[in-house]
Amino acid sequence: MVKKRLILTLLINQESFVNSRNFKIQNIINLETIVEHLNFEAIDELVILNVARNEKKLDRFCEHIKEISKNCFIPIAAGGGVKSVDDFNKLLRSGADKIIINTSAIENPSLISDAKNFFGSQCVIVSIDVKKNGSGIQEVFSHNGVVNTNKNVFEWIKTVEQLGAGEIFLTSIDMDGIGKGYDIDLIRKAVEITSIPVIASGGVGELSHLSKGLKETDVSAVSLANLFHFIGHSLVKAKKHLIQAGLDVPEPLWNF
Amino acid sequence: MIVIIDYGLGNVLSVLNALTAIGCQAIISNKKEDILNASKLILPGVGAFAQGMKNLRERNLIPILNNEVLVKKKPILGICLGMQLFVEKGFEEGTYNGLGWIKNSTVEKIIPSDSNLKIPHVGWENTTHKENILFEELPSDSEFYFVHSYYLKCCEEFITSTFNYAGDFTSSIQVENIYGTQFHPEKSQKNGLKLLKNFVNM
Repeated sequence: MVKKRLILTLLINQESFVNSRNFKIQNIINLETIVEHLNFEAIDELVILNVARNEKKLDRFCEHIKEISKNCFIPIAAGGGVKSVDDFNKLLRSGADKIIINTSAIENPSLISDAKNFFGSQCVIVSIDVKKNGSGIQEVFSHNGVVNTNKNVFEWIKTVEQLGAGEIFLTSIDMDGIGKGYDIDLIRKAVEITSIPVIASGGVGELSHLSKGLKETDVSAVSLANLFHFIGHSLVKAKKHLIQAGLDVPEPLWNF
Repeated sequence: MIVIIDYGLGNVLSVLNALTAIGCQAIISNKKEDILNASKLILPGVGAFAQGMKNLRERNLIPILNNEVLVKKKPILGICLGMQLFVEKGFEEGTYNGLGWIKNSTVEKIIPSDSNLKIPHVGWENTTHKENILFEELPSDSEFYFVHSYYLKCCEEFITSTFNYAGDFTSSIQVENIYGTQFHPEKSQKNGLKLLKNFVNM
């Protein structure tokens, strides 16, 4: 049976890795200084998002993916500013294995079906950013969490699934970068109403949040995005934690 | 020299990165002379079945591949969609002819007997393999990375490994010089690199 996945999400703004808190981003470290030191052995998949707030330059982003992917033998899902089937191809030729779309899926939902017909649905991940409104309804936001689309998240999930999305990358803007854990209710309900895999994102502050996400929901993967997880042996510790919590995650091939 | 066939679909750079990491000389190409001169071929694939066949046709690759693989018996490894294209008929969003290299083979949607299981089948999965050159020195329950909604169905004797997802499904095949994996060895950490090494060195 397929294992649960531990995902590291890298956020890139121009030439820097960034941390995000409620979608406000802060440049942390220059890409060049860290790329060579990245070690992906403890994680099961990498998500790389171009979160530039002004123009998202795809060609430059592709260059970054090329660099990062050179020594990365786990799957890479990449996105941010992807607008067309051509853009999908550019990223796939730069070291990405799956492609993530968000705002462009909202503005042009047929991109989901077009990409599915070309690359298969397993290649099309729709990223959905949600925020709770005053009456507790989870609404979908586009444009880096700025524009309220007034879409109900669960209806939007059903729509993108019907259009041919292969996975959902679900981020709670409210929990993002706060370190209090995932929005469990949101994830649980999302997983219940869709038949495609869901990746939980936004909120991990301590390792127990990862195991909680996997134990209390039937989510397929948990993502952490705080860059400080890079430092020291945090990723190894995260993997160890999941194994010790009895979760069925890929066994690392190196020694603990 | 190994040629990674460029037919406008697929994570070609990921495959090249993996081959480079194991010290193998490889290029991404769809030029006839490169394919003729290659010692081995890899048909990568991240794509839909119909589009894959269309792209091979548009690039006039089918007669060249038929000759290299079926007549000259050059070893070829198909990855994911690349392997699926070897079949006679694919049933992804319609019915389409494949390359027809494997007798009585089809590509069909995965329908797990447990309806709670998600499709696409995405992630790391244990496989059970027979003794096979591709799996040399790999333990029988080795994990590999899968990402797909369809699987290859063929005669038992060609199946070299399976995975279980509320039902057994093909995870790799071999028919003489034709090899294929449903999983992505280029994205399966050390197990995948080892498998690629086995293909390169055989």
